[in-house]
Amino acid sequence: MGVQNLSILTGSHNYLEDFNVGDKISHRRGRTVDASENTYFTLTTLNTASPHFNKHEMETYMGGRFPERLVNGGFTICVVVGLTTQDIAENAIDDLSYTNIRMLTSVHPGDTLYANSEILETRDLEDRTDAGLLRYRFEGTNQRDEPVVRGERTILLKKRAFDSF
Amino acid sequence: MQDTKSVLNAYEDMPLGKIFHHHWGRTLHGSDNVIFCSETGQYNPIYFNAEYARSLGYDDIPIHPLFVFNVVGGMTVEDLSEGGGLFLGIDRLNNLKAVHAGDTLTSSSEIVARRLSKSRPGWGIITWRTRGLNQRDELVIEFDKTNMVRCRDAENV
Repeated sequence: MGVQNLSILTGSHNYLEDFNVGDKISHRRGRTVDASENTYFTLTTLNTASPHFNKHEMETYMGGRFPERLVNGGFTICVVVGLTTQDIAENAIDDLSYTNIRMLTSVHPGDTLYANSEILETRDLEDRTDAGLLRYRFEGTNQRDEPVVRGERTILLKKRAFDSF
Repeated sequence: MQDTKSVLNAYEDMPLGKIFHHHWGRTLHGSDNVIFCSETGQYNPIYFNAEYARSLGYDDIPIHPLFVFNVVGGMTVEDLSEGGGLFLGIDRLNNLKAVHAGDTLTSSSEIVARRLSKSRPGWGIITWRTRGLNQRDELVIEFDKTNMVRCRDAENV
């Protein structure tokens, strides 16, 4: 596979130059979270918190305030960031940092997650001209349009010069 | 043998500055990565197309940093959050070094902030700084995680 072929594998509309601070994006897809994948994800990451995988125990957990197992918050973050990725980070070269992530509402098996984003910053780098930094705020919402998570992600994103030859 | 629930750490077991070296360690595999990227929709081919990853300067497909985050964080749970208490947030998460299939990660955490909850008696709010190291003791990820943590004598809260 030649270099010429590789740049056609990702979008041509989502290089650093295509984003402006203040741009807002409603990401197209949604994602229903199932109980079994939440259990799998929790256990495969060695997370031993039983509210994610013991339905029986949830009847008494925190006074019985939750109707079902809790979806692992780490999994919620990953699904929401995933929903933003084709639009914003498909041409990223590296996934650098995250901050200000806040878990706002509990997620339970059967809930459906959606995502929207706002571009917060684009920045040139001193040591390279073919890529720069992009920082955006992601927000995940559920099927009732309640926000479940917000956070910021900073990526190293190609400029057009990266793939022009 | 003690009741297992009684040996989980509570707020009182997490003084400022205490360092926890978490159990187990975990070798990450290409199969972990492809399942993770597929089920969470990480549509950047760096993480599932080896030719594309190499064209961008990676030695091979890197393990997705969010999977690294969840494994390094997952290993902290038994010591810090299995005792019950909601996950509130993550700050200052930095991915410092690419992780590849075959790398083995271990995890440690230091308590960096703690206070009692004002709105929920019997619970505290604790922040720990977690660090993930590879088999060469290189720091690959660090982040601050904030959780509610149950106080030891807070039954039925």
